[in-house]
Amino acid sequence: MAEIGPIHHPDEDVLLDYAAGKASQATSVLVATHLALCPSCRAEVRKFEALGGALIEAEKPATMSADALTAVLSRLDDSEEDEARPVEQCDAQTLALIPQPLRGYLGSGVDSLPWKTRGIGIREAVLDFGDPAIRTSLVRIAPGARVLGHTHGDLETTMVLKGAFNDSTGRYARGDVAVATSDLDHAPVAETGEECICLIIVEGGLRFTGPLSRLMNPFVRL
Amino acid sequence: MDAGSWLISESDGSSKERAVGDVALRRKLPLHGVMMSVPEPAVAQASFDTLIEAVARDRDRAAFAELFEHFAPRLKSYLMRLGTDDGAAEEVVQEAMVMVWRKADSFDRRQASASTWIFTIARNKRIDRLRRERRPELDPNDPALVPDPVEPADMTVQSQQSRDRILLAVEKLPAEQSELIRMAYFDDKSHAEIAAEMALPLGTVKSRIRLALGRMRREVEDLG
Repeated sequence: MAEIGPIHHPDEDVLLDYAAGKASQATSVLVATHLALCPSCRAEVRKFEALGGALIEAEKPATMSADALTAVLSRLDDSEEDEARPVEQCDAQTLALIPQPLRGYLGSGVDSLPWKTRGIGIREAVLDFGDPAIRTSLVRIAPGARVLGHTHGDLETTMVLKGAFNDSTGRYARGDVAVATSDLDHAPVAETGEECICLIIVEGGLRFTGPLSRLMNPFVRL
Repeated sequence: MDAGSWLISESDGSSKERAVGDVALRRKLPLHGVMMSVPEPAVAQASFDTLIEAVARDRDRAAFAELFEHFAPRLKSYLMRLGTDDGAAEEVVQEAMVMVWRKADSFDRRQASASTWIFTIARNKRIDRLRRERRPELDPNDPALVPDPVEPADMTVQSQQSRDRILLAVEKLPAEQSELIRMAYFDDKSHAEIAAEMALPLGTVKSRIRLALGRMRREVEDLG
């Protein structure tokens, strides 16, 4: 592993799904954002893509329609449709903080998002990645604030973009990815000194387990 | 143990196998197991790199046509295995090959072989078609990007040989592992669905994939 960059990485099978083009849009954005911050996972994904390329080479060719090449040749000089997702001008803080794969979803910047209070020192802005089955959001945790203990219906993946938090499984800082499965009851606490901003993807819902849980469960299904 | 059973030699009876494949395509039969072939010599791979560079440098249509003749039928086969129907697969292949023309100047043989680069383009085109959102891609000029600690190793040698070496490595895997690697790329199924289909616990599927990838990685890294 490289000496620089994050120390907690996405699972290898998640990187493989990303390289093979099978990860959900939300997971792909999280992985691509992690890759921007993590040279060692970039190298891993390059290897998985090389494997995909080799497997393509070994494919038994299918039959193309007779005029396919002519059709493509005639399209080569067409003017390019706009390829890139239109990128809004964003503020300098967002430009420095949020890598491009995610930045494109944040409009004019982190502060411009529709933040909603989710408890003491916790705000959430839901992002739309086009899949209603997967809840994706940015969460800002004030310095020292604690996210209520909760368990997960299925899988919660968190990536730190700013600051750091600690939970029962370790310390997570910029670029680090934390994966929580259904059997883990955890309560992340932001480190003091700096707010912590995370990208969180929840598949299958989550449930709060503490005494205030009934108040907080709307956190999930809105 | 027949670890390489899904790698069918093209040296004997390739026309026969190809005919079988064509019939299967027309009838939309499942194609598992009949679509792999042993790679051509590494020399050919090197020249695909050169062809893409000729497209980038000279807008060379003959070079492009050669790339098309080689890759388009293989990409179509890949897409159809993932469940894309014939007409849609053809369209995605055409779009992907147009992107090869347009983006040829971003090809860097030190980073990826021709087949790897073209695979990523087709993969992204397929996803863009399935979703309203574009597949997220890294921007090498992103100010927030953490650069590689050193320049990535020159992959030229690796690119030219990687296809053969990687396929050989897949062939050397135990059958249960090579099958999973193939499914990871060519079946549009999650690990959980693959596990259910093979009547295996999810943890077993994940650990077999992990084992296979570990062996693959050693092979790829040995090249450096």
